[in-house]
Amino acid sequence: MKLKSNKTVQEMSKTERRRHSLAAKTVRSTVISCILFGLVAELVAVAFYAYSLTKQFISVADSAAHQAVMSATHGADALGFSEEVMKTYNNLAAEDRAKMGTDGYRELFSGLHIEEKGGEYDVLVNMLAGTLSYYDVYDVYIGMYDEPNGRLIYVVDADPDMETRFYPGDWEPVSRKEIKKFLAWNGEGKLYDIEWTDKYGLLCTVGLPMKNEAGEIASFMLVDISVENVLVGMGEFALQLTLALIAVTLLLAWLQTKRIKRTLVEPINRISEASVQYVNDRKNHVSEKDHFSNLDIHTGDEIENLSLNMAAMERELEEYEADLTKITAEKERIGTELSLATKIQAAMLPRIFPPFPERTEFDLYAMMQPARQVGGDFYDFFLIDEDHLCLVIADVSGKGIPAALFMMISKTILQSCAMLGKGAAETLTKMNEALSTNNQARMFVTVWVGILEISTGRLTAANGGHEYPVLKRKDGAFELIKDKHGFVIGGRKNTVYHEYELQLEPGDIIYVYTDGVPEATNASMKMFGTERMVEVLNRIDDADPKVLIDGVYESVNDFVKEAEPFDDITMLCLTYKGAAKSETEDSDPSLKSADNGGSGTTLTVEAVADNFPKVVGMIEEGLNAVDCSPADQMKIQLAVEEIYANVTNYAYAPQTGNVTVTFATEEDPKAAVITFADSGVPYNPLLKADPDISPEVRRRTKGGLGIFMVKKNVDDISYEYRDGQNILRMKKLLP
Amino acid sequence: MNIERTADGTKLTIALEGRLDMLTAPELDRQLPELLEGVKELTFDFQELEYVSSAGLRVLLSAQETMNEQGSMVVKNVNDQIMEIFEVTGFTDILTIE
Repeated sequence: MKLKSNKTVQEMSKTERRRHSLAAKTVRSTVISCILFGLVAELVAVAFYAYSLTKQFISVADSAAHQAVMSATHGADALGFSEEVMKTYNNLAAEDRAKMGTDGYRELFSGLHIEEKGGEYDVLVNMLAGTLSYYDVYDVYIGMYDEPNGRLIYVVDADPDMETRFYPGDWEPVSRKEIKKFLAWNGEGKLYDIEWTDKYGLLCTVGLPMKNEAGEIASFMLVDISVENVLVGMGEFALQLTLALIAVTLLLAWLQTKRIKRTLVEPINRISEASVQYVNDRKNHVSEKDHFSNLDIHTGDEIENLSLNMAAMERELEEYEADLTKITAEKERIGTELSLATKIQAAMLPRIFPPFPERTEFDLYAMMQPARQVGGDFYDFFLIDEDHLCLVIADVSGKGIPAALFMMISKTILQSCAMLGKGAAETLTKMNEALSTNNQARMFVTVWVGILEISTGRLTAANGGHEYPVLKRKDGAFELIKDKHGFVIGGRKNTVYHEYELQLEPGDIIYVYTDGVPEATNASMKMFGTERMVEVLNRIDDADPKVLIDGVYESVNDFVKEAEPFDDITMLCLTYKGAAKSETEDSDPSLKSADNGGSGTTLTVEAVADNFPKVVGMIEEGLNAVDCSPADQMKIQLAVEEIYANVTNYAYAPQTGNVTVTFATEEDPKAAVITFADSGVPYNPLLKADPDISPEVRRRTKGGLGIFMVKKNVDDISYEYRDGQNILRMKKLLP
Repeated sequence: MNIERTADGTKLTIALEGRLDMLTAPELDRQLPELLEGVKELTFDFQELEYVSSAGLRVLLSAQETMNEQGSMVVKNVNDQIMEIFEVTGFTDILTIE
């Protein structure tokens, strides 16, 4: 049944629920089927009853006819009288016959002397009347058919009602069917005819022909049966039968309802209640089990099957739920671990830009966007020493956790090899050796590694099956370098890699990437492609690596749009700005004005001890100009001397080189600022540990004394290596 | 820088005048072994000394070490600025200053 609302059964009102009661439905169907069956049975019974009653009546009438024939032929001359009546009738003209019922007509039969007491007619009437009353039939009479005219001509009629009694010679029309049937009867069975007549209604006539000695039919002894009796009998019978049927119907309905309630409704209700309980318990997280298993229904039919199936379903649901809980917990655990892995992997890649803020010789930027939570791509960069920067970009075969694990190993091995000072090719060769041994997962990694000599711009690179790098010369365009590829790393043992050199000039840009960039695919399965990538780089045309990488990433995203990211996208870009130029080339040792508005002086001299007085002279001159106390003068001189001594002793050893000393003053607060710049080996004297000046250890601390004195005598000191120069700046506040 | 020597038997007084810096200290350092030969009591007179740098300190330290083995050494007439340097560098603990 289709419910109009989405109510569940237990939410319905009682009346609503009763509408669906199986018991009521059973009663209704039982009553309907009993009534239908009763009607059919009653019809059949009544028909049968009517048939046998009629048969019985006919039998009675037949007996009456036989009796009447016997008495009328033996006790009287029925045959003779019949022939006489018929002779008279037959002799009548048609118009005389039409006068039937009139006195005139009766006159025509006066020769029969029907009024005569004890006469032939009188005897016959009495005989027939006797039979009539004895058999209690409707009418007994003798008649003969006028076949051509379809009439029955009465000979003797014993009708007790004198009003409707016919007299000899009277006739009335009868059906030709009856005439034919009666005249053609062959003597078998009983001769009767039931017909509807306008005059008498439904009439049953039983007949018996009376034949003369010649064997011709003289007339028929006819008995009419009262059909009314049949009908009354039938009515009574039907009434009784109806009552009986009603009683039986009610009884059956009651019994059926009781039985249905016991074997159908109650078990179903129990299953239904168990279902409700089951749902409620689940809602309230009651851990009650076996709602259906405890039902104990043994009806031995589909309902028992239903309850067994429900119990099985309950058990399976429980098992499924237990499994599901386990699986969900497992999934959560994996999810947590995966996000941890993501974090670890992200932390593996250097992500702080600019990575070497003090290095002015290059700008560097990189990004990695994994397609999944963890990726197989990586980039890396690190300083091998002060003058060598290692650049790496790599793509591990496969995806997900296995790729991430392989990536970790690859990255670690690569960095270890490179940090040992091995060249690009040897690094790859060693890495391949390590990764191809016991490489059971058959994974591999494509790597491009470049080692930049920062001071000269010489880039030594090796390619292990990785994408072609892109190079832009200062005044040129971005172009792919079809460099020499080695086999992928980890793919084959004993592979030897070769390196090549690129001389970077200031303004040159090198851009490397993984296949996630050119192979980024949009919804219509078109790839981004290296051509488009190079085109985008040229369109952006910026020297800032971050602008370039962000620009490429943006156009890849624009290209791919809604399509699922397929591969990790990783890029690394470096702009070489050239080694910092010292000012030695264009200066002879001479004084010249410093940049900062003429408030200072600059001196460039060859860094040898003999030039120290020149430096001190310049400083003294400057300090005298600002009215410096002798004590501060000496402190500044001490610091200047120590730094100058450092430069002469170490910067260019064993050769010599120039040092540029700048003296400047500041106002508010008043201070002297002295800067030393040399193009010697990168060296930060401030990193030297302060000496332990206790007597016991003084021998060992000789070297740190100078810088210690500098620190003690000035207020601020800083070092940076910029544009290929060691730049040391110190500041002394002048009260 | 001027180096003025006043010898009296095994006593030697070295009076320094001017600056004892990276330029002049090596010269003193070069002369010292010869000057200190046989000396039992060494006196540095800093009356006229204006300036001492770490290079100078190293020479003083080396002289002190030599004298530790063969006698004694004192430094006298140290001006305030140089005294400050001695104090800062811990040389006041190493040298005998009068």
